[in-house]
Amino acid sequence: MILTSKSPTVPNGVNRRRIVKKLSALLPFLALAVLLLCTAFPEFLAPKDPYAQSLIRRLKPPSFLPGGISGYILGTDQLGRDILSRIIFGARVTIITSVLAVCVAAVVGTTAGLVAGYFRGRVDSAVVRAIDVQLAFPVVLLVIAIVAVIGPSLSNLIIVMGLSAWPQFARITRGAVISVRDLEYIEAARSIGAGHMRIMFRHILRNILSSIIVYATFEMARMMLVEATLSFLGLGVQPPTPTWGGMISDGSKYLGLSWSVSFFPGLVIVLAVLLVNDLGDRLRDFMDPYLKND
Amino acid sequence: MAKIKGRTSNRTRSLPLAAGLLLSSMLGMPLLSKPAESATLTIAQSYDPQSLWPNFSTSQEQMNVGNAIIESLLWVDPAIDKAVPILAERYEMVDPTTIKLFVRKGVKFTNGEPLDANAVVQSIKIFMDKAITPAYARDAAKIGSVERVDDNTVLIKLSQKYPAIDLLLSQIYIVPPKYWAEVGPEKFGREPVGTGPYKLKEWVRDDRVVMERNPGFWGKAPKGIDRIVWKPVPDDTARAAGLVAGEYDVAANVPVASAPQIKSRSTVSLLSVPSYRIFKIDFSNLDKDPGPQHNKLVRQAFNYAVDKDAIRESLFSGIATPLRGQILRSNQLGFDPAIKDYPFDQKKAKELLKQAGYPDGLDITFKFSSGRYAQDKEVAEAVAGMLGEVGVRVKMVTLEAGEFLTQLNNRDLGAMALRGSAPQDDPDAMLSSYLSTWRYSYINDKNLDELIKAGSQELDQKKRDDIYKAAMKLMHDEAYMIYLYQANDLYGVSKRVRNFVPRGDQRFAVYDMSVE
Amino acid sequence: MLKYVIRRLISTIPTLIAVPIICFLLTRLSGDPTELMLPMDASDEARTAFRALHGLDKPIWEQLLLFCENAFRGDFGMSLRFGEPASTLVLERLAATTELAVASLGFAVLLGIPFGVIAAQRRNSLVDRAIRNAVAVSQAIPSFYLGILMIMVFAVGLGWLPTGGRGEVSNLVLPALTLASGLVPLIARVTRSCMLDELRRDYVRTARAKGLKEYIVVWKHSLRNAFIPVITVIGLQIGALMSGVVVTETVFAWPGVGRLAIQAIYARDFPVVQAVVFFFAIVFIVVNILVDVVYALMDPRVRYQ
Repeated sequence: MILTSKSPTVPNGVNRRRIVKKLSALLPFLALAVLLLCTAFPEFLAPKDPYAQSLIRRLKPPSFLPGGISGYILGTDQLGRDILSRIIFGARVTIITSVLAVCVAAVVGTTAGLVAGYFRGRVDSAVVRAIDVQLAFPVVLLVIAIVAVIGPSLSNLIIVMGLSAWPQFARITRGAVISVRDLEYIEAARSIGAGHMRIMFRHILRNILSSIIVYATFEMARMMLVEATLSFLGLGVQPPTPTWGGMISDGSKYLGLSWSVSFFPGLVIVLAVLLVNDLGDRLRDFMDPYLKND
Repeated sequence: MAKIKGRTSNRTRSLPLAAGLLLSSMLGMPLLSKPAESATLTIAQSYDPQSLWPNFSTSQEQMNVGNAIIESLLWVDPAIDKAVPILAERYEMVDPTTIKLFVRKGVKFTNGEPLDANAVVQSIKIFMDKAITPAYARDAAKIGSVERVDDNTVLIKLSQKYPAIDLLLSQIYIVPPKYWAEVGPEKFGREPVGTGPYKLKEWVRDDRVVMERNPGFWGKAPKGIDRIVWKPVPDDTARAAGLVAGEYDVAANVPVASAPQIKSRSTVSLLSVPSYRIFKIDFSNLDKDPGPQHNKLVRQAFNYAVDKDAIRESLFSGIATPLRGQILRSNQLGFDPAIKDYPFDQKKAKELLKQAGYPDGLDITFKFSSGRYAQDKEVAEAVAGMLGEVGVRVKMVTLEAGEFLTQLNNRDLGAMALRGSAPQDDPDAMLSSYLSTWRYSYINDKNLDELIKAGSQELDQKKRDDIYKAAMKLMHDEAYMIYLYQANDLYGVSKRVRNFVPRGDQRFAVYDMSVE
Repeated sequence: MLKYVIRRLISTIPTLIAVPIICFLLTRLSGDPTELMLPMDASDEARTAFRALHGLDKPIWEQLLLFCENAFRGDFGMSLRFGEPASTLVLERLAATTELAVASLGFAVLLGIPFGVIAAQRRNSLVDRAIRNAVAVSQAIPSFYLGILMIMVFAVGLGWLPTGGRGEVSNLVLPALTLASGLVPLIARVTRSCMLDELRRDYVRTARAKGLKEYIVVWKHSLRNAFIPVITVIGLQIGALMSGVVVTETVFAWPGVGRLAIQAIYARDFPVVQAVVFFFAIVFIVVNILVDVVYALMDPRVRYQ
């Protein structure tokens, strides 16, 4: 960059365009950094207490619009809480919930897929049937039953969301395992006396890990939406804890009074999904240029 | 294989073309939200009826629809706040437990059966059968026996002295006995036959119930309404939107958030009706729920700490009525104007908490439903926030609506819970749920029990009034609950509709309605 | 071929047995419907009578046996709310849901495939990025929110389309688009990556060298091969589509199975929940068998695996 800017032969316009291009390539990483900061230290970033309510200043528009009050940059929600602060604090629960849910799904699904693909036979058909059963099952029923039995809590929500997503991981893993299990290097490992566990987890899993990680990234975006839908159905994270999905779902009831309550959390989810998808694409290109989505 | 190739390629080539055609034809469509024909009244409610026979359940939506076809003995008319005779011309009390009922003459069901004493007796017997009408078992228990005197007279024996006879008789809907015996309750609910101003034309489940005028109706039929279409629209926002877009003439139960949108249109107006439903936060003084709420000072402190006016003014845009420190409404027997609610006073609240032995605040669990009542979650969050300001650390637990009801009925709601109660319009109906023996009562107070029992059997209005006033005073002093507000039901109504008068229990009848 | 189909059909039997039984157990765990079906102040007698009428007072294994026995005859019992056979309630709403699902699949394919193809053709261009982002945005908006926004804009604001209900084609547009919004991105994505693969192949080079028009190469030869993965995605997403139906039908007052399902779940109307879940499972299985059959038709190797 320094070189080109010194070069007198390059016209100014091209130069600027390159800088813009490089900057825009950096943008996702910048966004990721902001997101991670919000997740880690919301206390230092949020301008207000996300739980401090005041019914007098409820449903105010953003401070840069007429009617807004200074200090409340994105306006206030139905209870007069600062939307920006709630979004920043919401990042933590939203991100952690989706990441953990994906982890649950990935661990359960990958293990099932590995075992099924490696051993084939009865184990395999059992796993395949289990996948079919799970896919054919409405998530909402699962949530209500689990919530009713063991009570509503964040961990239960994570488990349910994770359980609803494991079949996809199992399918991917199983397919990948089947395609590599008879390859030479596995044969080699077997011939030097490696046990099943060792072969499965050391040799096969390592080989297919990249595709699982890439899929997990995409799945994270979906989990945020699942959380939003569960909130809409009254089955989401317990109040007053903010989550982006919960904020959209609450805010959508106030569309007639205020557009900003649901708009900003919606915008943030959209940006986060775009970001996660972009990162997934990059990760895929980085880990395996020949790998295709799905 | 070759054949398949050919077919696929043809289809794929025409795909973009088809897409374009479909899109353009759809977007190019003219205004499709057609205004309803002048003779048709379209009413949107939250739910589709389960049955068109009103006594099938106690859900208002279901009864509103069915009541246009099948009529009751009396109707408690909200316009005059009195019972008006429908299929009973009048009744008299022979003694405190015997009712003599005179059946309206010259009325026929739409299948030709006559309305007579026999039809009324059979209908009351159905009403009393717990296996057929389990939902009305509590009302039915008040009736001991029923017999036909002559063609137009029926004698009802009560099982106990009971003050609210009008209310009881208005619950009973009269069906044609021969047809009923032929088809049974389920089929009757699908293909009802009645004496009402309308008869069923078609019912497409979850989509629409269409009715047309009954030419043989005995009374004065609603003017200008030849057809009624009932639409079930579950989403509140969407229902209000449909009204504004001109698809419905009446939208029941519109959310507060849609009020400005409705008010801003010249074609529709907003109707606000004080509901029978009152909201409060009940404390448990049951032994199984130990905790700070057993201390009267703590309960009073909570009442001082919650700014009830702010909740009404902001969350409900002022469209809610204050509770005056008691659970009876100002137009009810037993309401005591001398009682004033605990004012909003944070200092006093903190003081009381200190006196009660909690200078550093306290911890308490607070359960509430999400989606069972209008803005229940918001109200609960607001209350929890206000309690937080006086040092109460509230652990909030939201419950899915069905789970909430189950826990409520099993007395599992614990220390404190947000509840809306909408009993029938009689003080006993409200008070009896606070009897210590009541299935879901969270209060155990011998003195209160005695007052409630006395009130339920007292036939002298003045004495009954005094008994309930004493009960109100006792509950208020003990602060057994945080008194929040009386809800208002909101309806969006097209300006061409006249005389749409819903009751506080969300029931309405079409008798006096008209369309211009 | 017939043998293959029969083999696939037999392999679905365990699923068809497991789904209703798991569903049965889950519903029983989710609470006692008596509390929700009767008014709150119903007497104990009324409750006992209600339980006895619907067999809820029997031990759970006995209920399960009875359920299996009846389910085997296609009878899922009487709805607790409606007092009618649960299967009737599902069947009479079937047409509405099928209409919605087919329309939204149509939208998803009609929008997703062209988007994917165009994006692949102009890989990494501005158009490609724009399409990919637009499509990702539509996926990132929760469907309940998108639905309400569409009602506000197209029904209330512009007055082009009705807010809900079923009847004419115009009633179908908004719910179908809402339901399709989650599928379009997937289909576009899969189409794009398959097309990228195809466009690199030798036959494309040959076709181009022969002087075939570019749009024929792309839209006829390459797209046909990209079709199989798209069909697979649709098969996999049928479950998600059925879940989406629940929210979409509620927002748009669409008289279908999804709305029946959510109401039954909330009301603990067990027989209806069981009937709906069983129906969803059958749809899922049938669609996936169809996908497999299409696969097998196109690639004979599958049949002998």
